[in-house]
Amino acid sequence: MSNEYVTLVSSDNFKYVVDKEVASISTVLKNSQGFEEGKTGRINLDMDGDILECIVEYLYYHYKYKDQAESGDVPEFNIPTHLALELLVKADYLDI
Amino acid sequence: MIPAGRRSKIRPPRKSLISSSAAAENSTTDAVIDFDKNWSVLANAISQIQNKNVSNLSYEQLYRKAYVLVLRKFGEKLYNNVAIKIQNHLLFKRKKLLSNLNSESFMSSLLQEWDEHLQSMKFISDVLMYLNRVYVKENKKLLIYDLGIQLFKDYIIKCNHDEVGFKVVDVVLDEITRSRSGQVITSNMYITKIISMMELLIEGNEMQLYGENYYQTVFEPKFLSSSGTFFQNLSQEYISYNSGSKFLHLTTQFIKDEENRIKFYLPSSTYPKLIDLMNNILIKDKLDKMMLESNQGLEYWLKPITNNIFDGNDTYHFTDLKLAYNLNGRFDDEYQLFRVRLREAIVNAGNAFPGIVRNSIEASKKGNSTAFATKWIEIVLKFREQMNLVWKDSFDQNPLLEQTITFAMRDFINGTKRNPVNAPELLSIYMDFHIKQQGKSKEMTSGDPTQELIENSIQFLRFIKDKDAFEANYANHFAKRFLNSKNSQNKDIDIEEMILGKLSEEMGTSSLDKVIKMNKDINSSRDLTNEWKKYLLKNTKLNLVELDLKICNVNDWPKSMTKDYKSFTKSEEPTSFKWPRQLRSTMSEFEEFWSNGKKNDNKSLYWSPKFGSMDLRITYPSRTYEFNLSTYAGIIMLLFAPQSTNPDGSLVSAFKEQKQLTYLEIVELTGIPEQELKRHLQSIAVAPKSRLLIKIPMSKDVNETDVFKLNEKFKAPSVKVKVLTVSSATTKVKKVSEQEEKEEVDSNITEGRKIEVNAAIVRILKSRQTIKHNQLIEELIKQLSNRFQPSIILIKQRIEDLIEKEYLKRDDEDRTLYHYIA
Repeated sequence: MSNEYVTLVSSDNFKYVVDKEVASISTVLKNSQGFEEGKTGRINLDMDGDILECIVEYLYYHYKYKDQAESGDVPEFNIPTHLALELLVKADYLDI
Repeated sequence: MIPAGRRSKIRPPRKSLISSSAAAENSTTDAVIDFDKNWSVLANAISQIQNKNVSNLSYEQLYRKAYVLVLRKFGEKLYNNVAIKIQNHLLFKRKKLLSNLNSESFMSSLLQEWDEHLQSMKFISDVLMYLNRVYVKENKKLLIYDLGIQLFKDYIIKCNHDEVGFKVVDVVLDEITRSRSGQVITSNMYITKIISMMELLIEGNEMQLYGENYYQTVFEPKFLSSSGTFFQNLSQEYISYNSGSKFLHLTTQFIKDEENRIKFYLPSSTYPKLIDLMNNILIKDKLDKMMLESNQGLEYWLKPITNNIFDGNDTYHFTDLKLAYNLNGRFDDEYQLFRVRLREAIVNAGNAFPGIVRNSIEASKKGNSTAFATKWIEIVLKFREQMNLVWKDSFDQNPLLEQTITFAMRDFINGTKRNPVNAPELLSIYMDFHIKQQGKSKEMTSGDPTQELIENSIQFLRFIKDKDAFEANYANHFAKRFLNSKNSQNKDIDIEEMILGKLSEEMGTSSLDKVIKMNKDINSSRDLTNEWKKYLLKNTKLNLVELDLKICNVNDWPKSMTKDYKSFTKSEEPTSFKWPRQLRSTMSEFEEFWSNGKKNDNKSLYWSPKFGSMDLRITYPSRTYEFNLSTYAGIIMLLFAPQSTNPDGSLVSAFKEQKQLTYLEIVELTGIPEQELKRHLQSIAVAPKSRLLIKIPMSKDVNETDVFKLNEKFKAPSVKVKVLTVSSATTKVKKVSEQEEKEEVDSNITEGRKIEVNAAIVRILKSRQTIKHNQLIEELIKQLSNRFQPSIILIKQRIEDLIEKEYLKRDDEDRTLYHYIA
């Protein structure tokens, strides 16, 4: 699984190629693999590119530090203030 | 806090996500229509999923539809619609399923439906994940996946009064029954799968799940009841063969198979229940009956043990015993049933021994108590040895079983009212016989036979309850052995010492007090003999008769032997005993030596011709023989010794003197008591091998008118001749003396017990000061049990005795309470 990638596509057609394992942090992205998205390797998401970028960044951030979460030795993740509310909604949607 | 200088506006979330589909319609959307449209897409998707067309569905879109519906507060509606959708699908499937007539294809289709259903439920639940996360959680409903399982249970398995459910249970039970009957079944995999399916079907409603699953509520009870019926029939069949061994083998084999079967098919929670059921029906209710089965039952399994005592060729039924033992162990780790029956069987076998011994003795016509005792004890010891083999081989060396065997043996060894055996006396006789045997054997044997005798005796002694009775008997035999032995050979003494040592180790020296005192006399007698010999050498008194001394303290020896010790002193009464002139000088010389001894002040010496023996050299015309005969017989022979001398001073040959004595003359000359005299005359004048005298007329019984003279024609195969004393002339006399002896032993036992009970009571009261009657009795029995079994009557008598002697007194108010009087 580690060498497989999925392509996340935003509503304004930005594409992000993400490691499948990283994407699977989101239950929604993970579940989608049983469906058509699993076959095509492409997941169309109804969100803007800047939001999706932020989400992908977070997914990698989360993946990188997941083992250190216990020790608390994790740098802060910067959220652009103007996106904060929308990110909150998207995160709920993706179950992150 | 956000730094004041960098104020930035938070962008509101885009509405498009929620309203995108509605926006596409480009109208003021009605929420209901919105729902219907979205639902129809989802419903279609669910059908697709159920038809295994997952890979053509866009998850993101479906997920978003469900998401939107949930956000729009359509959660409940969606949830219910999904349930109905699935339900309809299942009802359709159910019909198809029931069209399967063949039970195996029915099973496989059911399993296929189940697998597919689970698979589709997985996808459906993925699609409806947001519903799960928000609506289900808030309203505490079942997760979609669990809902799917519930629906499967309700609309496939339990629909129409468990039509499918019961059918599949019956199919599985049938298959298991077929397997039990020894048929090969091909549905093994189906069965395990169906059972795990049933375990997942948990009872509950859409709000929550109860603990019990379909397997537990329906399958297991049905399974257990059908198994019960099966076991019943099976065990009836096993019993109908009327063979204990066959029952054991069949049952054990079936249980083994069944255990494997159950382990393979069923969850471990059922295992103990089924094993219990099986143990109860197949074993517990039947084992006892089968052990008591006359055909190949416990008795039959134990039979070789008895047989092998005599022949040694029978095959042991180790396996049968082991199986029976193991079967009992399956439902009772204390093996109570088996132990009770084993004990009975051993006691029965053991109770038959005396009869067997009596028969074999009568057959060989050597009927006496010695033969009985030795044979019986040998049999018992062999039996024990063989039971030990069985114990090792069949009973896992279980200490409980060893105890049972020991108790059972103790039971029959100590005898029952129906089957009285006097074990203490018999053991003493057995030891007496073997000690004498070993003393007789000419060559100096190695310690082995003695060791063996000791080991056997000790082993046997441990079975004896009344150890004090053994001691009394042993003391009696010990005394007789010593007093009647020809001479105190060192070897005999060694054996006695060794045995005495071992016995003291086993029972404690205090209980063998009597024997130890006697043994002391024996040792000092030997020393005295040596001293006497040295004294003679020193004082050159060589014309005396050689003496081998046995000097006993009257009080320490059995009264039946010593009671008349004073009657042989020289007195002037005509009927009294007269020591022959040949001995008198020696006797008086010794008396002088003895009374000068330092240790012998205040002691009187009495000679007792009843015991001991005499060595005589007699020259018959054929040759000179060396005779060993009893003291009395020797004294009689001395009457025939030549008395007149030839002119040259040498003694006239006795045969020239041709001396003849009548019975009455002998009575007068010796003073030997009548019964004894007759007996010894028989020994030397009637017994064919030792006819030193001729009796006229020749007849078996000795009469007052008989005349005796030397037998000129006497011949014997060897120079040394041992004259055996015949047993008492008339059985009546013999019986009287034996009776007397026995009475003495018995009274010794009784007296000893009185003393022991008294001592024990005082001991107990001394430490407790006050004690209740019942407690006292309990304690007494406990303390005395390794010596003998005190009767309650005896204990009560002893308590009265001690109250009389003012060792204790009853409480003034509570009559069952005793106080110790210091």
